[in-house]
Amino acid sequence: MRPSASESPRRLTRGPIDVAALVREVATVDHGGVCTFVGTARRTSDGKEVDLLRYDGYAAMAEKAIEEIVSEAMAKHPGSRVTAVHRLGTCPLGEASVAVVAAAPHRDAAFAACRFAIDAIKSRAPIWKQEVFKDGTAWVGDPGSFQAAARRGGSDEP
Amino acid sequence: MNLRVLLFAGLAERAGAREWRLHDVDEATTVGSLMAALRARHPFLAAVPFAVARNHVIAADGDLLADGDELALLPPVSGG
Repeated sequence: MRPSASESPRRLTRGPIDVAALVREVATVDHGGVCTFVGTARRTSDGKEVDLLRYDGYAAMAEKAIEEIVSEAMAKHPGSRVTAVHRLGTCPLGEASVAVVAAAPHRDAAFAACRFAIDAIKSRAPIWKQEVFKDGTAWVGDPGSFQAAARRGGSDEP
Repeated sequence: MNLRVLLFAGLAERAGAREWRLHDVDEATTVGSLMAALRARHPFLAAVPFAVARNHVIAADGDLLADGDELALLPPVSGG
């Protein structure tokens, strides 16, 4: 018997997210629609250039939170199968920081389940994003956390 | 009783630590009274609002703590 999507043990990863593997995990011949959302590391934040993103997470609680969200999404949309993975640690520009895949018999439920899950992950999972700029770092939502980059030895030193 | 307090993101950075181990805490301590004591000792905790999780569940100020509890200070989340 094929395990249900909710039995997937890992909702967090410290490396690249394999979106195609997530699609294979949930999509079956009973599904006529598969909706994928991939959140990626963007080059700018409020007009400022970002070098890369780093994610901190309360892993044990975030695993549980994402697991619950996936279960809720499937319960809201009978016949759907949903999976999600969030990245922790360093995320280079352009790479996926989070991915949700929802497969359902018809597209409306696939879109709705996917939308519900990504919105819930962003608002409920204990995960924090740090933006790394040329001149320092800041945790998103914590403006006082800006820390100037340590000056590189050499070039501007007398 | 002994407790662990986990810190994340900007709070961990300000603390210079990801975990505080607290020893010989009074038995009658609640989440709220412990937070008041921590805020008095670590003024940087006022820098950002945070929720408190107790053993992975969001806690209320009135919750009584028990030996071995894992508390976590959770600033507003920003995943995605």
